[in-house]
Amino acid sequence: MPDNEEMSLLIERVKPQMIRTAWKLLGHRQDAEDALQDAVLIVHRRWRRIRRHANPAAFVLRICAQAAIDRLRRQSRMRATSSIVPGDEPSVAASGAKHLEREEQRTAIRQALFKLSEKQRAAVIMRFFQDLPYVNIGAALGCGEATARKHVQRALAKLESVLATTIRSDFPCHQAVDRDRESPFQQETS
Amino acid sequence: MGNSESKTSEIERLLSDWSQEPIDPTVERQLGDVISAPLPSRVRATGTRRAARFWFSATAAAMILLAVGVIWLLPRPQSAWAQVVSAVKARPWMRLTLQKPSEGEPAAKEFSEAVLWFRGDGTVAASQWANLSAWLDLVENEAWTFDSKRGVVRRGRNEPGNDSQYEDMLCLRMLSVLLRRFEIGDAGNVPARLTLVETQEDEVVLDGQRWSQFSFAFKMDSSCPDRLTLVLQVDPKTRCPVRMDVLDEGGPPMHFTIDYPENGPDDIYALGAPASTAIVDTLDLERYFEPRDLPEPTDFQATVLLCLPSKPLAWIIDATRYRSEGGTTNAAYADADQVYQLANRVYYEDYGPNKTPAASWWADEVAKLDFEPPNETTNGPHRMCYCSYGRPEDYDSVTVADDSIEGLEGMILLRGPEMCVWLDPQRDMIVRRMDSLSHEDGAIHATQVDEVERGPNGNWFAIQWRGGRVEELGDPLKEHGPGDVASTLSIAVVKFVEE
Repeated sequence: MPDNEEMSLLIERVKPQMIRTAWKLLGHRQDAEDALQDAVLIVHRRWRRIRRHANPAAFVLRICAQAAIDRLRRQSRMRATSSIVPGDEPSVAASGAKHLEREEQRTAIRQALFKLSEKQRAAVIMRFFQDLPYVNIGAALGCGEATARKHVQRALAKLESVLATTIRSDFPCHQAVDRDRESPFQQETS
Repeated sequence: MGNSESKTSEIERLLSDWSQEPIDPTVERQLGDVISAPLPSRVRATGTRRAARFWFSATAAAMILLAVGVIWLLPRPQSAWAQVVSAVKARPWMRLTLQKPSEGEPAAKEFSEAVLWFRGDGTVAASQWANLSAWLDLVENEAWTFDSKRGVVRRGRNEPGNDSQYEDMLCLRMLSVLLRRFEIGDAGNVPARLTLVETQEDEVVLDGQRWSQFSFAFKMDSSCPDRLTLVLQVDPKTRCPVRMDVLDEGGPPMHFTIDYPENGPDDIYALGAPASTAIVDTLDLERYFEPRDLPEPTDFQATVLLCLPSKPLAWIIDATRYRSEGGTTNAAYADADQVYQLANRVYYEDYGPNKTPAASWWADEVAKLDFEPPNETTNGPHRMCYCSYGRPEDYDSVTVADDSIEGLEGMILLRGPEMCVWLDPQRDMIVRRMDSLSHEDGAIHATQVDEVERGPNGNWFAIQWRGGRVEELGDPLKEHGPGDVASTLSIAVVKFVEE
């Protein structure tokens, strides 16, 4: 089978996971497109090496995760990290405050990803956004299944510790205002 | 241990929910098209990337002339090129002007006028291209940019990126990154990512005149297949370059003429930015939106009394008891009927020897009431000053102002289109007031912390705060807001638990 055809088949096979990774991590169509372009170009350039890899699909997905992270790093520096971009996120209008709160959490998670080591970051992305089994994550990271599992566990623990002050403390002022609005007094006077 | 596992489960749940959310089919199709597109169109997919090449080429070309380090990189023509560098440095300014491509020559789709400036002493670089201008202070590492379409002057940091540490990085992505960076003016760092792979010095005859010609071939990094060659023609008498050609293997060539004016742009305003243009100081703004580490939690107990601003402590609406231990805070709400009866006692002045019941009296009385079972919560006096106000979608929409409003004199105001936040520069930049537009009811809700107290671990606790509605962002918080909705006053009696 010619190289290009083999590569295209592989990419088609992992396309849904690539799309999910880029979109979930970046939440912005143009950035996601750029990340996917970057990933595909890297795959193209490194195809000879990739095809010799024990698990080419996992390797490609790792490249995709790295491309999305690189783009996210730039995005967070250059723009807001919030994924709420008008026209990009179809559910924005649908759910208002709840959506905003959820996006806050996700923005915090995106930021927290940078606190992880490179392998931990790749492992957690491959596990949750690419649904890869640990054995494949290990193959992509060049380690065993058990080590891959440890990377994910440590990543989650680290994320939890980084997010401890963010997720659970979201919008206390808003909560206060909401509570004020619910108070009997305000109901009487509204 | 169990606690730790449940926390991890929470993160796992968040990530799983996030991952499983369906993607809009239109977006999915568009992204799928990107992946499935034939390779050549991927490479040339967007105008911004072509523009990135332009910027990279032009910037790298011009910067090289002044970078002393380049001299060290030159193996053979070092002495000759060193003379050129010296000659350029002796001039006040060097100006490079992009020329229109000749008839029949491959060219970018749209020609944009572009001019680059470099001060001879190497302290300033500037550029003007179409609607974008940049002025870089290479000493202070600051970048000023002006986008005439947006009418905004932006001040930012001229900082090196950390992208180069990733070996997987593509040349194409770097170009794109450089373009974006250059918008905030990172030209000063461009040479650091370049590798000079070939140099050549020739003598050429053009228009009957002899010129020294220097050619420098660069690669972006080891992974980039394309070369970028700069050809500079130098006047043998003055040793100053007078023409520069940028030959890009992946794009059309560009030609610049070079002259050396006495004066150059002294600031961004000399590049066309009107003096009245609003400044977005991202250098200053970024620090306000950086995630902050909270101090270690302090164990405390607190009673928060919700009252009317017009009659503080003369009538309470609600009472809440907070207990915080080891970073976990529980809140319990007092029985509403008992609170009402207690308020009645005050109304009939049945509160003992004190003429006016103090907050501590209320706290003691409230402590005797029945409370709902406690729930874990984060909404309490310990969190009021640490509101998460997120990050703006676009810094252009945020300004730093010094508008003073009653009780918030000397605060730093971050004003956005739907939100205002006042930060206290004297107290670790804690949030002293936040106004935000609620998409739920269309009202602007404001919360203002009037009194604070510092805990043993350095945390700031809100002791007194008000909440209510305002007509416009930043309006004073009155007893009654729009819609005649009453504001509320919260008074916290906090006791810190000593270790």
